[in-house]
Amino acid sequence: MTADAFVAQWVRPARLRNNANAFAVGLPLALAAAGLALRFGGLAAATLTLVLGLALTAGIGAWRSRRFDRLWLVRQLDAARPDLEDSADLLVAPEAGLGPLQRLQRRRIETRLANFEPSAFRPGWHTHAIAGAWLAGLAIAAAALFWPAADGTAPFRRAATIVSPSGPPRLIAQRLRVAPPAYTGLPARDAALTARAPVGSHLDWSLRFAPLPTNAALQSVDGHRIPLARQGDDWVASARLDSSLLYRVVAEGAAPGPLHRIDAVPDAPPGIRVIEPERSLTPMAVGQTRWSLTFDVTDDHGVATAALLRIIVTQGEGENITFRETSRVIPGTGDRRRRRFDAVLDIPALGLTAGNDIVAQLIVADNRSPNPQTSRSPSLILRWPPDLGREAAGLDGMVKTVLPAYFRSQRQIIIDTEALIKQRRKLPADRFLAQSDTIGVDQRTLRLRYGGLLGDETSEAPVLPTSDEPEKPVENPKTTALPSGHAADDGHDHGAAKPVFGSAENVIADYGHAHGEAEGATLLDPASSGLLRQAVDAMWESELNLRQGAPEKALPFAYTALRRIKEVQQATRIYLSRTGPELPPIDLGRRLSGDRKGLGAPTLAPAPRASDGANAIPAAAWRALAGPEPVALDTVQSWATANPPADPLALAAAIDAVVHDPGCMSCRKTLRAQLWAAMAPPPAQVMRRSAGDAAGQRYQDALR
Amino acid sequence: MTPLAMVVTLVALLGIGRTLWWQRMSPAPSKPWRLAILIGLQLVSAALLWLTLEPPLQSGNAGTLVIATAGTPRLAALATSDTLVALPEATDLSGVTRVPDLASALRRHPGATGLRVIGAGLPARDQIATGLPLGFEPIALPRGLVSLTLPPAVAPGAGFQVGGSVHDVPGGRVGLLDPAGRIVAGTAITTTGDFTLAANAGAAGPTEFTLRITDSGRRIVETAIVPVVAAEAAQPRVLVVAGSAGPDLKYLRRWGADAGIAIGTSIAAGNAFDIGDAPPRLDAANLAKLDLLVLDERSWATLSSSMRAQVLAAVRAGLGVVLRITGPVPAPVRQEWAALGFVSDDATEPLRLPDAATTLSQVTTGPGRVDTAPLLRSATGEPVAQWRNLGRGRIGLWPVIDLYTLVLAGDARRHAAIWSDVFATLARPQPQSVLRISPGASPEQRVTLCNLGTAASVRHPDGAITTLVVDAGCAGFWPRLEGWHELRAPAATPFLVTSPGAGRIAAQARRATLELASPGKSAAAAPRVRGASWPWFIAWAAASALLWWLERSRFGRTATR
Repeated sequence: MTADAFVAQWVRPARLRNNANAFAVGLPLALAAAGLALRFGGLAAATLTLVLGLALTAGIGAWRSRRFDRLWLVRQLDAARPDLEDSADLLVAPEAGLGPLQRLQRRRIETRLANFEPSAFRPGWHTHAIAGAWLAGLAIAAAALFWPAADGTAPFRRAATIVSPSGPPRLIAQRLRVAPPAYTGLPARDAALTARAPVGSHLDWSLRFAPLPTNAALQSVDGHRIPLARQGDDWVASARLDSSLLYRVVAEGAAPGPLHRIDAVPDAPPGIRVIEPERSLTPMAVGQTRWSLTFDVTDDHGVATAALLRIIVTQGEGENITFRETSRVIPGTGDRRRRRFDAVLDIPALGLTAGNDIVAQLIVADNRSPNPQTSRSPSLILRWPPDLGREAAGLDGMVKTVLPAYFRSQRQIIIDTEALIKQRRKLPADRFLAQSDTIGVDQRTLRLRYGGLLGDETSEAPVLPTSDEPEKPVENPKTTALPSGHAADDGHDHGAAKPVFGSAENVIADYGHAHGEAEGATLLDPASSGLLRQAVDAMWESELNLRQGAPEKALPFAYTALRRIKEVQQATRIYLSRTGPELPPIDLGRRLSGDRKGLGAPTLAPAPRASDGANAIPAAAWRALAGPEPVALDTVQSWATANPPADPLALAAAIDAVVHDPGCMSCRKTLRAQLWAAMAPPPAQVMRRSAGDAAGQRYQDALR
Repeated sequence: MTPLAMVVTLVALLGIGRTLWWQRMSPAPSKPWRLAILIGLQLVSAALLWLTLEPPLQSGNAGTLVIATAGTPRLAALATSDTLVALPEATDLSGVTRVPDLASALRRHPGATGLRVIGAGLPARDQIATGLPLGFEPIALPRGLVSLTLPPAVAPGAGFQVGGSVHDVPGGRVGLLDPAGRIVAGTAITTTGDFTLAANAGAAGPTEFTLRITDSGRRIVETAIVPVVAAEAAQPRVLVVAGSAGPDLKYLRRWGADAGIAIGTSIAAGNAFDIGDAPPRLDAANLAKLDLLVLDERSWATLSSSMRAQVLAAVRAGLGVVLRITGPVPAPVRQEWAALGFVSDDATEPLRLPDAATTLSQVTTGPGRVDTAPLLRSATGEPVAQWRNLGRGRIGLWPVIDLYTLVLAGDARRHAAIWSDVFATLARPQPQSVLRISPGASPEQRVTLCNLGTAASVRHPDGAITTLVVDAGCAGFWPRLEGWHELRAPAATPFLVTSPGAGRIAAQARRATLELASPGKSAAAAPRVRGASWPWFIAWAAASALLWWLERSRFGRTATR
């Protein structure tokens, strides 16, 4: 035996065991990797991964086998057999290079090796590594093969759809693709056969039956039918979702399946919230030139990127008001479903004048397509108060002081007067007189107001100091209040009231009287006019005493004035135009003839009412459904179509369940509950009491 | 003398006669003393046989018998030193003598001088008068519904009330759910636990409402079925004679038209003009055709005294009359109404109905006669309107002026329910008697059905028919199943059989046992019990053996002739 052959013979068991160890560890790991590749890459990737894994394992095994060489063998032999006398290297050396002594020694030890097996040197099994590798590998492979997909379905569904092609067709795979309208921005998704989807969604059914039916369709409970078309092994249909749908899958030769429901969710119009200004009516601040508006708009799918701001500016005053309407497009910021619209209006550029308004309104659309829905915000008003003073720089002497028409009510004057009387002892005399005079001024203002209603002169036009203007004729001297001692024709000028109050210089003018203007009077009936005149007269007396610093004397007149004003307020009446009854035309042919043929009996009693009234159909079905007997439900379905309840589809589904399984008591119970909810509550009828037995009647007869 | 005693005496006499006959015919007759002994022994034997069969009564001395009923705590059962027996309902006791019912317990333990019941109480089967003093130590009631008062049959759409009591659910709520599962009435549980809920029935037919009790955490404690039978009834014929038109009348007639009630109307329009149907003649014949007459103070004032007398006579015959107050009542009318028992005032006062948002107004009424009953109660429970019996008919005073505002406020159902209740209370009674079915029927418990004709039967939920044995118009029925049964007599009347909850069973047992309990009664009244018969039997056997031996022996006979 040559040395090489000897080495090969003695090393082979160890190398084999080493390779076996390598494969025992590598194979499960390669299988796990192949399983993962099968899950994510398919069969080809799995095969490639397995081959690569096994090649890698073989490479590792070969690399690790290199250490089992000649030197290793010599060491092993020397260590294992002391009787080789550390001469094992003689066995592996080439025989030609040995000396005689070496040859002798070699022959000696060769005989000693005769009963020694090469397998004694092979290494042990790597049990820990092998067990770990198999456990991990099997776990990974099982997870890769059987772990549910993210949508909860088992992986490799298609592989499971192997059925025997016999018997009625069965639905073995189903898919409903819901593609919401593009404007919603919602992704298309796979749904179960019962789903909720926005109105206008495109629905794609893909169903698979085994065995293949000859014909299949989607049958809606209201009779609508969507035929399924065959496409390879699949049956497909598509429809647009316009309203909620309650349907079942029917296949030729198969029992009808369960009902599925697709709820159509309608698009909501955008909702607008006004963030700025806080109130709908904003008075303009002094010096304000800009008006900023902010709106927050939300929608379920999306708000249009731009909105229309409608601006109306009023012009004019009194009854002569014109409107100028403009609109501008303002861009929105923010994301699709919640946008913010900001606008800043330049007030002078819009041409707002004193006493006028700017009315702004946001009109915003959502992104529904076609037919976007629009919403309008509440109208926001910016008002330039009509009585803001004019800028009057450098125009002294020409300034016309404009003050708001603040004046106190008669009741407030009485309250002030009484408060002043209480303070009389505390106040110095001049302060007291001044305060009394102030109240008198208030009283005067009020008197002039009421006097205006009666046509009294309230003009603020300056009165010419000279009498070179022709004197106006006195129109209505009776209705003019003159102080005692004066008459309309007493020959002197009574002066004119100067309505700028707060200045007490012109005492004669203040304590004079005004000439009336009949044309300026409000049209009042004579009684009210008389009452009002008495009130104004009393106010005049009250004012007189107040101005003279005698509030005690003024108080009774003030009270009289208040009473008269209240009487005038209560004297108002509302008149409505009369409408006559609409009588039928008189039949002159038989008038006064005594012919009563064809006339109805004069009765107000109602026509006899059917039992259960409007609920007759559902109530009859509701009663019949309590028992096990079959019930005809098509009339109920047509009734429900005519009188739709809150959830028509639920009622239709309950009816359908009972129609398909008449013996199902729980279905009947569900339908009864639905019918009960759908029925209008009947008007309360009257229960009749019992007369009682003979003894009871005798007792009642004896009652006093 | 009982038949048994007669038989024994007869046999003894026959035996004595045979002995005497044998004495005469025998070739070797007995000596006189032997004959006397033979006859005497026969008499003694007969007497002993009688005593064996009917041993003399003894006064009991077995002490108090303790009866364990449902829910008996183990400790209480073990602590007792008296004889303890357990009824079948006491399920969680072990090692205790079991008896099928109370009667068996008394038979097996003769001589008991008293009974002591522990646990929830005696079940309906054992609620019997034993004649023994009975003590009762009740345990606490279980949590939940402990009593439930079910409504009688109602008209379709009419209002009904459910009352009851809840034990130990602080801060909870009671809700009434209609058959569609919507809550139609609800209230918080008060400290007493009593509640009353009002709702409206629906279409004609048997209906199951549900009573739901929830605790403070909104968890359901108990649910109970409330059967409501809405039955169509012949609607009353009504005539309204009004002194003036008004909104209240308009909405009353509107309700009548909706509910199918023929309301004849006559509204005075002044100057002897009359709006409405043909003018009414309130004579006896026409009034007998009416079921209800609605008058007001103005139309009453226009009635002549003879017409008023006729109306009152018709009321005595069964007519119902509603006296509406629509405005100030004239003094004579007020006096006449006061004579009828109704006192009213001119003042009006606000009226709030329970759970109503609208405030109505009513004329102030005073306390009338003592025999008036309330027709309507306000939110505070004060009677608003009253009625009273007058002969077979009824008269009611209706002082609510503006009930129609309920309709304007959107509460038309309540408006209709109130008028329905008023009409149902006052209208002429129906001549035929109404079937009476004891409420709260439960399986295996007796249901009493009354006012039956000669033939009646019950249809079970599974379709089986049980023919009832009617005795004096009533019959007993033991249902087997839960569900809607149908009494056919011969018109069908449904009734629901359902198991009450543990709380109601326990509360009923407790109430009935407390009524039976007599803690103050002394044991001296304990009944005497039958004594033991075996000593008499041994004596009888000894006497008979002696007699047999004496007859067979030759002892005392004369020598053969």
